[in-house]
Amino acid sequence: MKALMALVGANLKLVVRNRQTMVWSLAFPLMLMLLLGLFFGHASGSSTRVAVAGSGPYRAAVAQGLARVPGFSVSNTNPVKAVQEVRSGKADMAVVVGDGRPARLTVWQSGADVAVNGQDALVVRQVAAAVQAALTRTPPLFQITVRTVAGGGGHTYIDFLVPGILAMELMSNGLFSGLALVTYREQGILRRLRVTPMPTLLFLAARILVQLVVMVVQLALTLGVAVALFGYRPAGGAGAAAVAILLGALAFIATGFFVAGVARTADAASAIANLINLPMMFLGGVFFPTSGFGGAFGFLVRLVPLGYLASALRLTLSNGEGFGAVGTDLAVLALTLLLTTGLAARFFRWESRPA
Amino acid sequence: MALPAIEAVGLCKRYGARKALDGVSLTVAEGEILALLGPNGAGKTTFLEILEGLRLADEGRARVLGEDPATPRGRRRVQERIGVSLQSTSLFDTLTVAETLELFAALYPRRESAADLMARMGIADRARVRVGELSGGQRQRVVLALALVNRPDLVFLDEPTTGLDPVARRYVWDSIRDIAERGQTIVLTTHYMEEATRLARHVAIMDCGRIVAEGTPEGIVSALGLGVRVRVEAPGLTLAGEAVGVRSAVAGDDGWRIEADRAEPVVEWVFAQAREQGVDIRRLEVERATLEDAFVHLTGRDLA
Ligand SMILES: Nc1ncnc2c1ncn2[C@@H]1O[C@H](COP(=O)(O)OP(=O)(O)O)[C@@H](O)[C@H]1O
Ligand SMILES: [Mg+2]
Repeated sequence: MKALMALVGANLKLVVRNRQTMVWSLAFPLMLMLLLGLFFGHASGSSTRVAVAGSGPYRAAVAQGLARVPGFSVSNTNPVKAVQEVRSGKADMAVVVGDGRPARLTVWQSGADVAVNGQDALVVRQVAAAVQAALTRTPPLFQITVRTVAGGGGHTYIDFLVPGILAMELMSNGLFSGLALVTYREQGILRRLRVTPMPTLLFLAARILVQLVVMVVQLALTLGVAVALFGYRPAGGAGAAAVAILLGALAFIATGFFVAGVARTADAASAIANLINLPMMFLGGVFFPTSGFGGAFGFLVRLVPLGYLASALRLTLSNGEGFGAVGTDLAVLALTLLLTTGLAARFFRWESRPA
Repeated sequence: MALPAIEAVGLCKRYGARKALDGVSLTVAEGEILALLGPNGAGKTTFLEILEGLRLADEGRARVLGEDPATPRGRRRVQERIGVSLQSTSLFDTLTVAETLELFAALYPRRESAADLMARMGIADRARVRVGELSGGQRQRVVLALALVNRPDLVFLDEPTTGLDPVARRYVWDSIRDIAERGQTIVLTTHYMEEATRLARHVAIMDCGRIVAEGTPEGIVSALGLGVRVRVEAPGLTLAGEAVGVRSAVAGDDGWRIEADRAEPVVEWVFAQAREQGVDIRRLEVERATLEDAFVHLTGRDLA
């Protein structure tokens, strides 16, 4: 027990003092999410900036109506500037109100934000309808209520993206967790440990524990950013999510140790890890859904363990489902864990092969 | 009589077609220093690592502190009681000296205090320095300290001074003597003849996987009957007649080089001739054969 604690402590120090791994495992995924979220996801925590411009009797009413929409912040300007603001990214949407009857109402949006644009445009339509109803004193024909259905699939891109990023972080972290082992092996440190009476497995156990700690910190940070900046709200399913995370993390660490076993040098291990990492990232449905694909591509997609982890996390964290919904995902992850552990054990080496 | 610390009988080890060990038998008594002397590739490291439980011999058997390092249980017991400095030990560069010692101490049931060890090795002021920032000599002292962290009964030091400058080397020698004075048995390998003769009374010369000579440094040399070399600087001296046990006498520019069994008859002969011829002897040197000579004689090759 004392030996395990000492090994865990030492390995924690080694990991924390390795600036490279810290950057890759903590800063990089956060940056990636920030970028993706800002580009595609439209931070729902930050507001939609609407530049209202134009003339005529209805301009003020439209501006007021839009200002009352939660998440919209409205500024007034002239038509030319309003469009320029969208182009330069200072505004997300420009609404230019014309005079005459019917008053022409033009909505300008940047081309980058396809997923969100539709929603925002719809809001403008609704506001316009409300303004019309109020000004013409016609009773509304419809009263529209929008509700979200629990378990109905990711509602926004962020709901889709966050669990995917979490899964991807677990995978990358695990895949590259063997690099340090290769370095220690190349430097003969593993052999030095091997002439102590410490059991073989203890060192690996300590290493895995430390890796799990790093992963938990990484996930907590990512979730924190998602909640604080993108208004992500975990919907529940914590128990099932935790099991999926543990299975996935262990499976990917085992894969990383397997990579360490077959690679001769740390550089080779890094190359192999990347070779697994990149295709998995794209086939695993982290950035866009891949579940709908058929044919050969669909078959490939269903072979990728990352996809099952991402799916399990989406169903639990974003949709609030429990164990019942993720049984298949968990089973596949457990199977992957079994297989990769076997491979890691089969190929593990204490010494580097003589050249 | 106490059990020997090490008893190896007929150890063989092959790497593919290459025989790294070709029937090595050796006994090391408790409390002594054994120096394994041999050139690169002689099989010293392979021999040590079999005793340490890092490699398995193909043939032969070994007992280390009464245990068999080839069995899992024996290996564990051996490793609890031996201290090891491997030939090329890297350490965790980002751990400090104290952290490194404490980590390794925690892996053993019996342990020495890290502070005491650092004081003994003269690295107490480096305790909070990361290992990666140490000089070669300081690093080697950490490696030595690591070999003592479990208060071992037997210490293996594989080339403890290779690559060190002369000052650092002397420091390591002092540390090794200090270890020996505490009654711990030491097995060290080296390809420096001087290191073997200075530190050890028990020397084994190894070449091509075999032990080609064993004993005290003087014993090895005299057993080979390598004799002495007498150099005489006396311009104009001619040597007539004979002396007992002269093997060869070669004239040089200003004197003679004589190989003989013993020095005294040769010296007497040279004096007598010089007196007869009225020639001055400027210098007369008697050189005993060294371990190095013994090695060249045994293998036909230079050491190192
Ligand atoms: N792991 C190994 N695989 C293949 N050959 C090896 C290995 N270790 C040592 N050898 C070979 O065995 C011989 C003895 O090596 P070694 O025990 O390291 O000698 P020394 O320590 O005296 O230099 C050398 O020829 C070396 O090349
Ligand atoms: Mg060697």
